[in-house]
Amino acid sequence: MIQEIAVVLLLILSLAYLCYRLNRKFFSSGKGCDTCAFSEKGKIEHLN
Amino acid sequence: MKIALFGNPNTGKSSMFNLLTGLRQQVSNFPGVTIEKRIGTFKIGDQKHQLTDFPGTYSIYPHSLDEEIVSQVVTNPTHEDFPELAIVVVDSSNLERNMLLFTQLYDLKIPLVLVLNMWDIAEKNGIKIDISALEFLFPGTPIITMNARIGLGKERLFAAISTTNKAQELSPFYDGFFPSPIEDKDAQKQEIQDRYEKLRTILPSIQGKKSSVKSTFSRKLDAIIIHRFWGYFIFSAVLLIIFQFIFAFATLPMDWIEHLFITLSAWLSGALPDGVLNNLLTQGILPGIAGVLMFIPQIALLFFFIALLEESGYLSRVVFIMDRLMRPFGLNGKSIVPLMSSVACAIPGIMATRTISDWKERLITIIIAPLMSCSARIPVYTLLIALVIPKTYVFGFISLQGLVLFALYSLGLVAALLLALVLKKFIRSKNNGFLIMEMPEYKKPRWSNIMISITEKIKVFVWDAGKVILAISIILWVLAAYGPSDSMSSKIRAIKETSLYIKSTEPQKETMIASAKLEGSFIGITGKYIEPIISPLGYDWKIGISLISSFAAREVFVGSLSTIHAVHDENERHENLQTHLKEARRSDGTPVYSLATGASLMVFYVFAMQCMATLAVVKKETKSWRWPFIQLVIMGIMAYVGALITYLILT
Repeated sequence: MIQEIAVVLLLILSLAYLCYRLNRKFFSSGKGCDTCAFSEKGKIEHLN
Repeated sequence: MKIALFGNPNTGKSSMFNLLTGLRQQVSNFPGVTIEKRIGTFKIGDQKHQLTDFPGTYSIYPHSLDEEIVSQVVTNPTHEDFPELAIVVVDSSNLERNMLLFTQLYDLKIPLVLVLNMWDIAEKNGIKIDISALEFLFPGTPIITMNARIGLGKERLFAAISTTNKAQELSPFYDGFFPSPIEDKDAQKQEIQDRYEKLRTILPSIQGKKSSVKSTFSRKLDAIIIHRFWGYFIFSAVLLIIFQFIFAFATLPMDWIEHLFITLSAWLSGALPDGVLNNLLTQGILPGIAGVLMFIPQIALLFFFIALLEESGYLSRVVFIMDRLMRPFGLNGKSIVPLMSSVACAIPGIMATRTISDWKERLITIIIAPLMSCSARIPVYTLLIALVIPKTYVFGFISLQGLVLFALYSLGLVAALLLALVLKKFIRSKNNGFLIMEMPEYKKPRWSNIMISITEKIKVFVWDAGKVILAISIILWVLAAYGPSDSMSSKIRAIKETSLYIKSTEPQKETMIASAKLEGSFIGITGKYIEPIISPLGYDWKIGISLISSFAAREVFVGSLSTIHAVHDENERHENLQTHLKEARRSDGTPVYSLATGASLMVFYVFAMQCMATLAVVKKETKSWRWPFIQLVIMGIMAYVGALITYLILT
C-alpha cells in the first residue's frame, strides 16, 4: 500500500512539475534562459 | 553603489564581470555574446556594490535591440539602472574606435573609471599609451590598465572604484553636447563624426602606434585559415576530426555509466520489496535517467573541442568564413553568431539575434536557428548511429560512424541556408546588415576556462534535461504499466490462445505476455492510434510515443525509449538500451531498427522542432504565438517529408 501511495505522489509531482515548467516557459515574463550558466548569486533580466 | 559596465562589443566586459562578481557568465572572443544586462554583486572591504554588465555598444545611439538598453539607461538619470559609477572597458589596442563611447559617457557627467583592457596584447604589439596624458585630457577619471582575462589589475580597479564616487563639473570633451533624439539620425551622425575627428587629432600624441598590428604569426596563419578555399577545407576537416574523437573516445566511459545503472537497477530490484515502487524505480526512473547520463562523455567532448577552438581564437575565424558562405543565401552578417551559438543550444542563439537591427532579418535567423544541430541532438544521433551504422572505416582511418555524424550536422546547416533563401522570398527586407568584428590573436588555450565551460554545460545538460526526463519517465512508466483492465486482459488472453505461445519456452512466454500487456496499456493504446501516421516512416508505436514525449526536449527521446523497453523487459534481464533496441522486432519478425528506420529517424531529428523551450523563447522574442507556430509547422513538414524520403530510398 505504501508503495502505491509513493507512486501516486510521484506521478502527481511529475505532472505538476511539467505543468509548472510549461507555464513558466510560455506564460511568465521571468527568467527564460535555462542554458545560460548562471548561479543564484546573479540574475538575468530580459529586455522586454 | 550601483556600478555599470560599458564598452564596445568584444572588449572583455563579461570577463571583467566574472572577475569582479565571481560569476560565470558566458564569455567569447566574438561580438554579440552578451545581449541582456546581467547583474551581480561584489564587495570591496565591507562595502557591497551591485554590478550590471550591459551589452556592448559603439555609441549611446542604438542600432539594435541590445544596444537600446544602454541608451535608455545612460540618457535618463531617473532610470532605475542609472549608475552611480560606470566602468568603461576599452581594448587598449584600438583606442580610437573604443574611446567614442567613453567620451559620450564622460560628457553625460557619469562618474567613470576607464579600464584599458587587454593591456598585455597592446604591449606585445608595441603599442605604448601615455596614461598621464590621457588623464590630463579627462581629468577626474581614473585610468587603469588591466588584463581581465587573467585578473591582472583587479586591485588597481578596486582602488579606483573606492575613490571615484562623485560626479564632478568638468569641461566637456565635445562642446554643447546634448544627446540627440533617437530619430534624429543626421544629428547623431554629425556628432559621431566630430568626436572621431577630435579623437584622431588627439590620440596620435597619446599612443605610440595608431592601431593594433597583428603578429606575423597570426597574419601568416590567417592567410590559410580564412582562405577562400582552404578555410572551408580546414573547417570541415576540424569538424570531421571532432566527430571522429567523439565516437572513438566516448564509447568506453559511456559503457561504464550504462553498466553502473544496470548494476544499480539489478541491485535495487533485489533489495527493495516487490511492488509498484520497485518497478517504477527499476523500469521507469533509472532507465530514463541513464538515458541522459550515459551521453555525458559525448557532450563533454563536444564542448571541450568548442571551448578549445574558441580559446585559441579559431572560432572567430570560423565566424568570418561563415559570414562569406552565408551571404549568397541572403543572411545578415550578424546572423552568424546566433547560428553558431545554436550549435550548443538554440535558446541563447535565438536570444543573440537581438543584435540584428532589421526585424525581418532577425525573424529569418530566429526561424532557421533551430535547424543547426544542438547538443541535445547528440544523444539521439549517437544512439541511432551506433545502432544502425557499422563500425567500419573509410579509407582505413575515417570512422564511418563519425562521418555520418558529420553529415547530419552538415545537413542541418544546408537546410538552414536553403530555408533562409526560401524565407527571403516571403519576408523581404530592405536592409542588409553587416558584422563588424576584430580577429583576436591566436593564443594558447587556458585550460581552466575550458574546464569551466565543460562543467557548466554538463551541469545545464544534466540538471535541466534531467528534471524533465525524470518527470516524463515517471509518467510514461505509469501509462505503460497500467491500462483499461479489459484491454490488457483481452490482449493477454488473445496471445495465450496463439499456437506460437503454446510452443514457446517459459522465458519466451513471459516476453510475449509483457508485450501484450504493454500493447493493452494506456501508452500502447495511444501508440496504436498514432501508428498509422508514423508507419510510412518505418516507425513502430514505441518510437511514436518517444517522438511525442521528446517534444519536451529532444534528449527525452532516448530516456523514453529506455523506459518503454525496460517495462517490456519482463524477464528482468536488465540489458542495456542498445541490446533492447537491437532485439526489437516487428510482427513479421524483421528488426525494427533497420538502416532505413534509423536513418529516417536521424533525418527526422535534424529537421524537427522537438524543443518546448526553444518554442517558448521564440514566442518571447517575437512577442507572438504566430511565429513559433509557423516554425513548428515548417520544421514538422520538413522532418516528415525528409524522413519519408530517406526511408523510401533506403528500403
